[in-house]
Formats: sequence, C-alpha cells, structure tokens
Amino acid sequence: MKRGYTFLYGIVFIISCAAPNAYARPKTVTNLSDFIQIAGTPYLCTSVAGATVLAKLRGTMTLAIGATYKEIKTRKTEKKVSRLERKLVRLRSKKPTRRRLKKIARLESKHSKKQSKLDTLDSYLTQCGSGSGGGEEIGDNEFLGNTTSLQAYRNELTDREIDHLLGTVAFGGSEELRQIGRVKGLSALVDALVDGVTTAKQNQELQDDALAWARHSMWLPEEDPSEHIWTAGAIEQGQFYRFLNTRNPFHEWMVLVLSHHFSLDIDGIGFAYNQYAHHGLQAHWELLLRESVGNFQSLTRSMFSDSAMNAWLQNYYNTKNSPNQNYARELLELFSLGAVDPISQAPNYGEDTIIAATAYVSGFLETLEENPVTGNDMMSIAYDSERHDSGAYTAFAGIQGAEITASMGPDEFLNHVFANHPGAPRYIAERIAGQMLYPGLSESVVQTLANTLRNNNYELKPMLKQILRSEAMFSRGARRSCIDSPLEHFVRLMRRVMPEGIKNDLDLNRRNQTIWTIWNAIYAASGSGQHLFEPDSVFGFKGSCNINRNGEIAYGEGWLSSQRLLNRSRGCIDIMNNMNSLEHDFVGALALRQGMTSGEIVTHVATQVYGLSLTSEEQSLLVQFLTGDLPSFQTLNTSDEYFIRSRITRLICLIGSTFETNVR
Amino acid sequence: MKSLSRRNFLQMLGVGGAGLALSPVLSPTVACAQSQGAGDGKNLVVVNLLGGMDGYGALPYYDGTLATSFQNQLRPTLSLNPNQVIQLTGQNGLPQKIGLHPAWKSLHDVASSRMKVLKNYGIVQDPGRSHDTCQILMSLGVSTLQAGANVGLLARLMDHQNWDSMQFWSFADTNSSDLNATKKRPISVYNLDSFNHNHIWWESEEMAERANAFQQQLLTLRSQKSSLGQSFLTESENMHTTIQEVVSNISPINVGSNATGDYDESRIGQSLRDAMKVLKWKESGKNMLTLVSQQGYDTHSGQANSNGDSSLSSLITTLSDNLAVFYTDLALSGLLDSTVILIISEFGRTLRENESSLSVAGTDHGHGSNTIALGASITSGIIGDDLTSNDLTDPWYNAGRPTLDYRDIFSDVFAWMGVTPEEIFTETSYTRQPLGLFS
Repeated sequence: MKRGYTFLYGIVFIISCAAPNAYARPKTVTNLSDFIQIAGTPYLCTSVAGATVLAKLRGTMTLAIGATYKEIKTRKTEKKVSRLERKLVRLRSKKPTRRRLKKIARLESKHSKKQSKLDTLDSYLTQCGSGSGGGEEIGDNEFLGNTTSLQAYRNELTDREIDHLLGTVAFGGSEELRQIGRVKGLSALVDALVDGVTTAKQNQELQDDALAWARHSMWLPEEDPSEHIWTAGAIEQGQFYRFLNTRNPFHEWMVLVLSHHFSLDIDGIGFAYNQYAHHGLQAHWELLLRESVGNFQSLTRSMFSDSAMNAWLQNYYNTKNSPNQNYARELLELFSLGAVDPISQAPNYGEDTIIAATAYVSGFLETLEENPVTGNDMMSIAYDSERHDSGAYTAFAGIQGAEITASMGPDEFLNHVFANHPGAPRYIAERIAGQMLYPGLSESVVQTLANTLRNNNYELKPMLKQILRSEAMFSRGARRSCIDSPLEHFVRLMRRVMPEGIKNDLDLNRRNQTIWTIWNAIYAASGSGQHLFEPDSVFGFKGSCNINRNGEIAYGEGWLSSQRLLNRSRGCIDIMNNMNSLEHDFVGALALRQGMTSGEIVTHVATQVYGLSLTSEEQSLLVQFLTGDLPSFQTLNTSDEYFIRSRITRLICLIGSTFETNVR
Repeated sequence: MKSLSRRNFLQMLGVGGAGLALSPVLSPTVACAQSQGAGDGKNLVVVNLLGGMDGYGALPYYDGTLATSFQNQLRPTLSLNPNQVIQLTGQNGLPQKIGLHPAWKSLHDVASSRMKVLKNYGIVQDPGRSHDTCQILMSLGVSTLQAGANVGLLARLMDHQNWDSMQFWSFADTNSSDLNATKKRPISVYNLDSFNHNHIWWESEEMAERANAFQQQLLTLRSQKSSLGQSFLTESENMHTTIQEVVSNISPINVGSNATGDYDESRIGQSLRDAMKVLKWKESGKNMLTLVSQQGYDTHSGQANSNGDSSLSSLITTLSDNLAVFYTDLALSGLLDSTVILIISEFGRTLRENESSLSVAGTDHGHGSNTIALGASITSGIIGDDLTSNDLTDPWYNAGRPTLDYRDIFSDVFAWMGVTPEEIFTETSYTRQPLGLFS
C-alpha cells in the first residue's frame, strides 16, 4: 500500500512546499528550505508530506495541516501511552489474579517501550527548537550552536540571532547594540553587553538622573541632594528610569537576576519614612547596581553589613547567647550553595552545619552613625566580637574538601565556603546560566562554568562572556526556552515603543504623567506576578525561568495563570495608553507613516515591537481588527488620536498576547 | 454585562466563513452551570500556611510535663499562661493536654464540634529544614525529592478524577507543582473581582469584548508544539473562560456578612471569600478543590503576642476570624457536610525559643508540628502522638520528630471523597495508616 502512495507523496510534497497557504501552516512550513530546516533532511521532508497525505486519507485533516511527521507521531504515541496508563490503573485497582498480573506485566513492558519512544520524539522536537517553543521562522543558517557546547559560536550573527541575544538578556537591547552586533559581530557585542558601552562618568550621570527621577516620583525638590529616597516605590521608579534609559541593558537585567537571588522585599522591612533607616533602601539598591557584573563573593560578603538584608533576615539579632538561624540558613541555601546539588540532588549541608554557620555569622548589631550628607543619625550595621560566638563547630561533615571544625568569623566562613565547598561555584553558575541559556543545563556545562567562576575568584564577567559567546546560547534549545518574566516583558515593550527613554527635564505636567506611566508598568508587572524588588518570599519568584531551587526546573510557567495573564494583558493596554497620552510620538516611534495600508501597519507593528513575522491568517485577522467596525466618522489614519487609542495600542497588545511574544 | 454571542461576533467580523475556525473558541467551554447552595459533591479546602507555622505555639500543651517543660525550660518567653489556652474536651485522663491558642477563639466558637487536632504531623523522614524543600515535598506528596517530578498531589488528584479546570481553584501562593495537572490546568486567580469586568476604564464594553474575541481567535491560529506553548494557550483559554463565568455567574453570588462577621481585606480573607463564591457556584454533584494560603509564619523573631502584625497571635487571629466566617457560610449554604478544611504548613518550628527578649524572641525552622482539620462529618477530638522526652532533651535536633505522616491526613480525606489514596500516593516507601479522621 505504501508503494502505491509513493507518487502521491511526491506530488503532495511539491504542492505542500510550493503552496504553503493551501496545505501548510506558513510559519512552520513555508517552502522547501523550511521543510528541510525543520525536518533536518530532504528525506524527512518527504516523510512529512507522506504523513500529511496518510493523515488526510485517514480523516485527520485537522491534525495534519501544517503538522510535521514527528508531531503526528508524537501525538499518536502520547495517546497510546495514555491509553496504556489508564488500562494499567484499572487493572491494578482490581484483585490481583495470576492472569491479571501477567496482563499487567505485558502492558507495563509495552508502556515502557512506548514511553521510551515518546521520550525520543520529544527530545527530537526539543532539539529541533520546536519542543521548547522555538523552531519557527528560523533560517537554515542560524541557531546552529550545540546545546551543550560552551565553545565560541561563530562571530557573524544573523539579525534574528542578535535579537535573540538581546531579547533574552538585555530587554531587547537597543539600536546601538544591534548595530554593534551587525557590524562587528558576536565578540564585540558580548564585550559591549558585559563591559558596557559607556564611561564611568556616563554611568554616574545615569545614576544621578535616576536618583533625581526617584526624587521626582515623591515630589521632592530635585535641587536638594540631601533629600533622600524615603520609600521602596521611589527606588522602583529610579530603577525603572534606568531600565528605560540605560545604554547597558544587560547590567540592568543582571540587577533583576541578582535581586531574585538575594531576594529581599524592600517594602517589607519597614524602612520607608523611617528617618534612621530609609537610606538603607538606596544603599541596598546601589549595592546591586555596583556588583551587577562584578564579584559574586564580594557581593555576598557585602550583604553581611547591608542594613536592608539584616532587617530582612534579622542577623543583627543573632548573638552567641541567642542564636538566630535565619541568616545563616539563607546564606547557605539561597545565596551560596543551595540545599542540594542541582545536578546530583545530594545535600550540600546538614542541620549541624546550620548550627555552626549560625555561630560563624553571629556578632552583627544595629548601631547609629552620622549621615555624611545630612549630619543626622542613621542606622548602620556594625560587628561586635563580644556578640560573636567564637566556639569551635564542625561544618559540612562528610563533604570532601569542605568539612571543617573551627572557630570562624563571618568573612572567614564565607571565604571557606567559596573556596572549598564544591557546591558553591556550581550552584551560582547554574543559577545564573540557566536563566541566560535554558533551564536544565547539563552537568558538563555547569561544571565548566563553575570552573570559570572559581578560577576567576568569582568575578562574574569571564563566566558571563563565556555564556553569551557560547554555541549553547545560539542553539535551538536556547531559543524561546522560557516564558519571559513580567518585568522583562514590559520593559522590553516600553524600550521598543519609547526608544529615546524618558527625560528629567520634562515640564511638571508631563513629568507627572510619565511618573504615572511608570507606576502603571510597576503595578502591571506586580499584578502579573513580579513586583520589582518586592518578591513573594525569600525564594524570589517561584516558577520563574530556572529559578526554582532544589533541582525543580521551571520554564517560567509560574507566570502563567488566569490571573497573571489577565493582568499582563490589561497591563499592556494601560501602559500603551499612558505612553500615548504622554504626547509621546507613538506613531513616529513605531515608524508608522501616513498612507500605509492596514496590512502594512499590522506588519510594521509586529516586526517593530516584537520582531515577529505574522502568518497570513494572523495578518488577515489583525487587519480585520484594525479596520472593521470603524465608526462612520473614522478612517484609517495614523495621525488620528481616536484611531491610535482604540486600535493601534490595542493592536500592539493583541500581538503581545501571543505565545511567541511572551517567550524569550 | 452584555455577553458576546457567536452570531454577534461573526457579524462583527463580517466573515461567516470563519465560523468553522471560530467554533472551538466560542463553543461553551464550561459545562458547569451555576447551582447555588449545591450540597452534594465533596469539597476540599486546603489552607497552606507558608513559612512553617509554630504548631507548638498555635496548639500548645497547657497541662502535663510537656506543658511545664515548655513554660520553664524551652520557651519561658513565648509560652502562654495555661489559663489563656482554649481547652479542648475529651482529654480526661490524658497525661498531656493540648489546647488552642486564644487567637483561635472565633473559629473554635463556631466549629469546635467538628474540629480535629492532629498532633506531631509532618514529613516523617527528616527532609532538612528548607522552606522550599519541604514545601515542594509536601506539594508532591513524597518524602524524598526525585529529579523531574513536578506534578503535585493535588494536581494528581485532578488528573486522576478527570476534573474540569473549574473543579480546582487556587487562590494561593503556590508551588508550580500544585497546579501542574497534566490533563486540564486548574484556575489560578488572586482576586475574582478583577475578572468582573472586561474593559479598561476608557473603553466601552463593546470595544473590549471585540478585542477579547479577536484575542481568543488570534491564539487559535498557531498551534503550539511545546508543552510550554500548550500551557500558555490553556491558561489563556482559562483566563477568558474565567472572565465569562465570573461576569455572568460567580460575581453576583453573595457571601460573608453572616452572624459571625465578614471577611476582611487581608489576603487570606479575600481568598476565603472567593473560595466561598466558587463553592456556592459549583455544579451540583461534582467534587471541588480550593487552595488558599497565608504568608508570614516564618517567625524567627517577634513571635510573641505583643509584637503586632508579625506575631503568631496576629496571624492566627486573622486566619481564625476569616475561617469562622467561611465556616458559617458553609453551614448557611448547606455545604458544611460536604466540605473539609485542612490546615497545613511545610514544617513546625524549634522547640526552644531563640531569644529571651519579648520583642525579639522567635523560633527557628523545626520539623514536626500540630494542626487542625475541620468540617464535614469530622468529629471533635485529637489524633496523634505527643512529643517524647527525647525530643525535649536533644538540643541539637531541637524539634519534634513527626510520627503522623501528613499524607495520611490527605489519604483520609481522599477516601472520603471516593478516591483511592494509593492511586495518588504512589511512592513505594509510603504505606497508608488510616487515621479515622471522620470517625
């Protein structure tokens, strides 16, 4: 029978490849090259067509349209596995007779084979890039990196590869960075991302401007530098100013990553409007900024004397007479080691180590010192050896290289962990790299990065560059591997729609409107599950890309719920409309021109804002949205306020509600 | 609110030919008809107290040698005066008597006859004392972590029972494994009120409905091959379905403001109010699961009653007051006999307080704990073992070693719901010990 279809295979193959709109979903299979790119070989392309024909003949047209052979096989196998599982559950719930047990054994064996086949198919789809949401739109000359290789990828990048890099770790980047990527290639782009493209003076100016903006957000006089930042909200406004205005977006992305890692709710520590403690908010923020691509060990050490972190984890209550385990436990579990090894799942420490570590990090206390700017008293964290537990304890019993019995101070203990515990570099490398590459890194990738980190004394830059230049970064497994976090989503959107950033020198009315727009963005992200600098708990944001501890891999599905998607969708509309009401040149930023057809507008918005190529069906539907049911007084007019408000902003958010625009 | 019919939408688009493609979007996706006061079908309400509730403070010993040890040696600062503790009946002759922290008064007043205290429960094997590890273990219903396991016990219940999305509502801060059902995804919301409108303030409802309809249609145009993509589509569909149901059927349901009081605006108050609404709304005859949570139980410091919002007393008062309203709502709606409320937390806390100053004293991460189950045909009583003298004298372990496996509590409830517990808890090392929760 199969031989009888050979000729037909060929015919349908040609038709399918040549007439994509009729037989294939264009984003997946638009032409011969796409067929080859997805299926891997011309032979498989033929199989695809063949499977399509067979599926059609079997009345499963819906399934077959645009689906590849592998997908069809996968779905069928899934069904079989599921059917077998149901049968097994039914049989196991009944009284076990000899006959039944024999049948169960037979079915178990069959199930095992099918499951194994399914795993193979799944892994194929993942490797092709389609298993993790990617794969579509990829040309056959791009994203060719090996998923598990940290060797340098080729220097010349395609535009899509540049967008992938910038979209994953730099909020979409900027035209300046894209140009570096296009003209100078990967190596220069990575240097620009990690080392930055600005001078120290420019960096300071950005922070001065961000602080001024933070003061604006509280309506404090900008000319008085002694006026401090009194609330968490002001810090969040200041950081958002940086998000939108920075030329080094990777640094700001790392601030976000580190704020998850050293998770602390800056609004929950009670510093706001506290004349003795409020400066701790700014100090904590600037610590993250300073070390965003700096030294991880130094950053961890700085947390000992960070007043905000002390208030959060109460280490200033931890004394030799009243040991409080809170800080010691989180230092090991969250900051430096993880409770278990991310790959082997072996414990990194036991409860005896918590007791020892509590003693080692004891001795800090709250004190007051003079604020050099205002002359007022301000809270400070000091170390008092009298409060320190100097007893000898045993830590990391049974962990080779790390076990120690000694009396240690906080710094000494931290140095010991970073220098001698094999879990420290692995944990930190996995936590950071998993978010940059893809969740579930292999042992070899983690170990290589851990070596880089340790060999460079926990300086982050060498490891970050290694990751960003790697083949793995440009593999299909890394493309669209995670749901983007709400802040990544909204900041990327705002940077695209408002590429010039925001300005401090706005008149009062426009400044207030802009502050309100940023509040909108902060609240939209918060409603979608991610409040800047105010995570749900010490774990940061659960379900975020790779961020779960204890080896539970997450692909950002924590951002997916009815509530969070509703708030993401509404947040987009709120932000876009507020930006529009800023008298911001919305139309200009999107490069929309008078006289464009509705189709051109749709295409332009999709590519300009999201870098997304639409299918013809999507294009057609969105054109209907744009032009259908326009009131009689209304025409397609990109200079018309009503049209922009009711259609263009909504159009942006409609496209922004698709899966492809919510992954990175 | 005007609802969008298929006919309206097709007219709006002016493309009748698109009907075939639209049918999956506009067909009724929710079979659940509103059925206020439906009394049949079993309901489980899980209240997850995040941070590790101090069970020995929330349900303290007030008489016996253990009470004396807590008051004199282990917790001289934090222990309550025995006269303050709400005493539980049925402990005559028992050497160690356990009661309720006075903050539970409002709940005890309405529910004492259907409240069971469970002593010294937890993850029996020592799992370490990480919040995350213990929360994940409890979510998964296992005693040891297994790489790749990510479907929690509640999600497995949903799968096992082939529930619709709207038979499992989460109003909680959860682990993703709680919701990782493989067949249908639960509805996860924080605030039902936010679903009670479709439009942004400046838009007309028609404009918003039109955009929503296009959004739904747009999502159907690309099939998603990855499980992540499919999850995204499912959640998007759940979002639209939830809007429709809340606007049309759930929002008008009145709850609270009963003889016990009203729900407050705390997170747990809002969650229980919303949970009550969906319980009253649910389709007759179907089982339903709701998950709520309360944060703040990680009381390393400031645990004493005098420490305002962060104190254990304040946390329990908020929980108890809202649960009392919830419990009364259940009774008024005829749902009490069919609803069980389980209170769980990832671990208990250390037996010894960590500081002698009243303003600072707290407890660190421990292991075993005490808790409460109530509702349905649960009778008043106490289940479980007391702490041993060995527990009290081991300064290194400094925690209760649980003897009651938390899965046994769920197992009794699952059996009551008509589910074979062994099909949910498949870890080979687990053997169910029926507790007689309902006897």
